[in-house]
Amino acid sequence: MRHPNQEILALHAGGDLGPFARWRTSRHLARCESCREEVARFDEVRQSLPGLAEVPDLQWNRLAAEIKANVRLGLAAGECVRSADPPLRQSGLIHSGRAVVAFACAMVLVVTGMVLERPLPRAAREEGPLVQNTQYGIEVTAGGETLGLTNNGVQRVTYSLDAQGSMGARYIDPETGYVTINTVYVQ
Amino acid sequence: MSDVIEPGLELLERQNRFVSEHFRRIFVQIYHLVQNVADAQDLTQEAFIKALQHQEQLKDGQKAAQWLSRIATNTAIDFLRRSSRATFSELEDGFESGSETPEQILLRSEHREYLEDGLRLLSPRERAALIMRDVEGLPAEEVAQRLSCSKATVRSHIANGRTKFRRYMEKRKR
Amino acid sequence: MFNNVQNRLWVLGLLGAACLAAQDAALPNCSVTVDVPNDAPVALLGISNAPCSATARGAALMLDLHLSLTLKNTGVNRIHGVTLRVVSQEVALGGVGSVYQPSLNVGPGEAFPVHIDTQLMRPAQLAGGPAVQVHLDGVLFQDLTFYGPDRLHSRRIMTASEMEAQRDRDYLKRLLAEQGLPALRQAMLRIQARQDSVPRLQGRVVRGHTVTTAGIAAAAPERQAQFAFLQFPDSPVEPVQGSLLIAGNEARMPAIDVRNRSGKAIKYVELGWVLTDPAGHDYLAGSMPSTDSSFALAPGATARVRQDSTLGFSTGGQPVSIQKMTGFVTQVEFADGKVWVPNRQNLENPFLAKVLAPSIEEERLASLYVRKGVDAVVEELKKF
Repeated sequence: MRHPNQEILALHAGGDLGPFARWRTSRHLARCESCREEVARFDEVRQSLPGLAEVPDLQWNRLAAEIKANVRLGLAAGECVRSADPPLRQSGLIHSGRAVVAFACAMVLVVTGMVLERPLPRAAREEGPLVQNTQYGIEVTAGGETLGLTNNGVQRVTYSLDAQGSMGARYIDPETGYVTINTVYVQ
Repeated sequence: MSDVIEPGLELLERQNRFVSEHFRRIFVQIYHLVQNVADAQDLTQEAFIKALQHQEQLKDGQKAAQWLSRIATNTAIDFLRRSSRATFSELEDGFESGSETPEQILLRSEHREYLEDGLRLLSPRERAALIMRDVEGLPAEEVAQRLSCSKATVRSHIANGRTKFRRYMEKRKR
Repeated sequence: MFNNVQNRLWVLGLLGAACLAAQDAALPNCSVTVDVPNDAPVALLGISNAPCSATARGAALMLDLHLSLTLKNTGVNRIHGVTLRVVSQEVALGGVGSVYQPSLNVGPGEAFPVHIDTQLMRPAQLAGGPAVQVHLDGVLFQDLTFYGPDRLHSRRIMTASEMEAQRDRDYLKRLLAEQGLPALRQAMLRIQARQDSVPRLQGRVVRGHTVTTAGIAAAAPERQAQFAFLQFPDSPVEPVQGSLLIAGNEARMPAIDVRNRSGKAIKYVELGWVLTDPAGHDYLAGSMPSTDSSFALAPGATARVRQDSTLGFSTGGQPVSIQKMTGFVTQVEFADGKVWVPNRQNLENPFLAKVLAPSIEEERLASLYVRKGVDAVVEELKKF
């Protein structure tokens, strides 16, 4: 009896073979206990790996703010000072040789970033009450005034729009772990 | 009330929005590959900078997420190639949970080290393919897109990755 | 019954520092009242708030209020959902919001937190601070009984959410029982992958047939289009035909005829929309409810669900042109109060699977998986 090679068995364990190869291998496995054991070993590998999926408990809002600020600095450094690939691990993003010029750009960007970190509502272009989602949450606007419900800095938000005139924002509250659904309505 | 935004600020706001929309996903994607928070943060920043510096290459806005994932994967693979070590586990990464005993925390940390020792034996692309397929559960087509290679090549990486990892697990058992 | 106020707390917010680019502005005080009726199955244990902060925006003032309420289950049944109504009479012509926490599992005597993060924008020259009122609109119990004034139809909304949650928990429990931990783990990873990959739209809606001067909708001619429909064989309602006006990225005045093919009278129908752009990309655009309080659909009868509104869509800041709209039934409420929601087979339709985000319960459990691992998910499933 000819046995499939290790590569075939490894792929079969994860369902990664094409249809014909999968069928052929399944037929063989039905008759061959040693190959079945091989597939079981590969299965053990696959079952042990998802332990790597765990992500640490991080302060995502702070991480987001740091990453955004550093990206802005990096883009500004690219504008202000032409350079090749920026080095990876440094105490700051900017090497000392470029620090002086980049710092001036960075100051402008940090100030701008602080301004932009405050929510900026969009104006209603239409006459009637308007509901919409923004970068920071959802809002209903009427007569030049706005009532909004923000997402508490959460990035992963699912929005839902209702033709009657409401907008919902669903997210997991980072502090409580509860699902929260905010909705604003046109009256 | 006015919402007039100056052109320079408008660009910054667009960039900000782009980062906000994708950063967590990209961070987690890179973290899965490098298994280190500080490295993942640096590489996430680098990926976004590269993406935003080359926005003109993105013709179809709908594919932004895929395109960015590809940049992130390549950035992480380049890093793994450059660094002589693959990763090291950091107990201070914040895995501690208030509900776990010290023994559970230690066991979990040891298990992670055990997995990471095995991953070190793989080439960067084998490691990336294995993690995307068996940890993140992405279909082979998606893995191929992120690695910018054919499905056949991806299958080869996955098979080699599983085979090497299995040999490692069997050696550790003895 | 709902006039007696058990807990009325006044919170005066002092305004904190504004950002660097803000102009000087008079800083009014904000006040918040939280009303919970005497006979409610929850009690307000406490309220904490960050200082109300203000930022000047031209001639307007933007006020941020962050509240953290602690509620306690004072009844004998487990609570599975709470909805609070948030109102500010002076702002946005009495604009209304709500904060709903589904998928709770709070036992008698247990306390739980609710966060409310509100933003108000009003002309800076207005004297006095705005008052925000928070009212209890509804509490849903484990057995799907309900308490509350239900001004925002929270009974129906929470019942539908709870039924979807039960549907998804039952599926995951079966998966665990039949295929073990690896299958549950894979399901969690698939949920996360779907969450990341589902295409998302930004949207806005205005009441009325409004012709906007903005963007591509202004340049595109308005045309009438017919809805396509995705049918669910077990749905008590069948969409028969529908039409709307399309101009660029705006959908206006949608109307859909639905037929009751069940043997029971129906008082509410909701349909979901999938939008297809000229490049063939699909997005979940929103939903269309039958909001006429007199809507009544006898068995075998046909009625029209329509909305006099204009919806605009964009993604990544760019407008999304509408090529086609496809509708499907997402919720039905019978006259006796029972609610129908699609089953998992309905939602696993390939067309829907690529546009529908994970359900509330799927998202909650996947988030738990990421934070605490598959064992925590197993323990959580056991609690229901």
